[in-house]
Amino acid sequence: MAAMIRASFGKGSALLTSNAALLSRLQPVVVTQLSHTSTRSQTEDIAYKEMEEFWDKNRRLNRPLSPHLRIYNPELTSMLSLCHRATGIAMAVTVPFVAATLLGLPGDFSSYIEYIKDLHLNPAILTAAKYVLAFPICYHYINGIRHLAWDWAIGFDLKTTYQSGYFVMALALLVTAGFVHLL
Amino acid sequence: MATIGLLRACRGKGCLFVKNSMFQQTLPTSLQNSLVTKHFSLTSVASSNAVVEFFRARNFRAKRGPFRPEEKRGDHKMMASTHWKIERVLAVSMLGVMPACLFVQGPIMDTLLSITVLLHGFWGVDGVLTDYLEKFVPWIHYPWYLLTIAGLAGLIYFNYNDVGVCEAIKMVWKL
Repeated sequence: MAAMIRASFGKGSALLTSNAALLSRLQPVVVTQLSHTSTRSQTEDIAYKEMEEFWDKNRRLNRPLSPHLRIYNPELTSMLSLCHRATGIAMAVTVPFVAATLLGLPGDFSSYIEYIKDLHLNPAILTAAKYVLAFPICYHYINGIRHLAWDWAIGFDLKTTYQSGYFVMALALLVTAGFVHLL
Repeated sequence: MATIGLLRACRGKGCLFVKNSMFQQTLPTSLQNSLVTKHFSLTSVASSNAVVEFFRARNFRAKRGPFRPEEKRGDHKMMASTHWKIERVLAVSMLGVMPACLFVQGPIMDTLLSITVLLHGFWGVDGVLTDYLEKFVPWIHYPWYLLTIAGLAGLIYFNYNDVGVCEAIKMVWKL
């Protein structure tokens, strides 16, 4: 069997044919038996352990990571995806924060509206504030449709992605302007 | 799969097969030398390295993979794919709710908006925390959970004792 393995190595296709033989020669590794590991092979356990040791060595030697965000050019795809995440986070954090704050603050909502009215702010500031409030929800909603289309594997190729990306951004800006000036 | 596991089992010492002298003899010397792990030095990418070095010096122990399936699953029993499907169902339902709130207002729409927005926002930010922050701050999910519960409490109070979200948005927009 050893001779067969040595001979097949020369052909370059050794590993696929001699797995069983080599596996039996592996050094034993102690793996704590958790539930749901019955379907995992011993090789996977060893692989995970090896990967952990590799990363421990990386940390120990303080090896640098290759730059990624610092060197990659911004593209429409990544910038729109970032915008989707940013608007989502902004809204998802603001809504509970404002709701919880209103719960604690005295007075009802109308009194706060009156307070802002009494400030007699420049209408331009109020319009700008409305843009800031309306854009995240419009953009996130329309890009959300794009995301859901991807989840059904529709429009995944690069050309369609770019076209839909431009369309989504344009439509979001239009709808935001519509909400601010028409409603 | 097993082949790759086998390749990884060489413990990074530069052998292509198991630690068995019989196999190592068959490797030509040139091949053996090229497999030895080299220590590479830091190549400076101008001053943008300063940020990376700042974090590295303070030893932020990011738990970067590999994560075994049990580690990723945690305590809950629901399959991740099922949770994903529920998230998409909610998102599709919101596709209908959002335009509807422009035409129909009232306490039912208030409740519907509050629950869908909070739930969708909670799962979204949860995903962001899992992607970026969990490896640095493993307990980050708990404050976010608390904030969402507080937000739900605030919105329920708002809808019941105050004007309600639909009316509130109308009042803000009339400013």
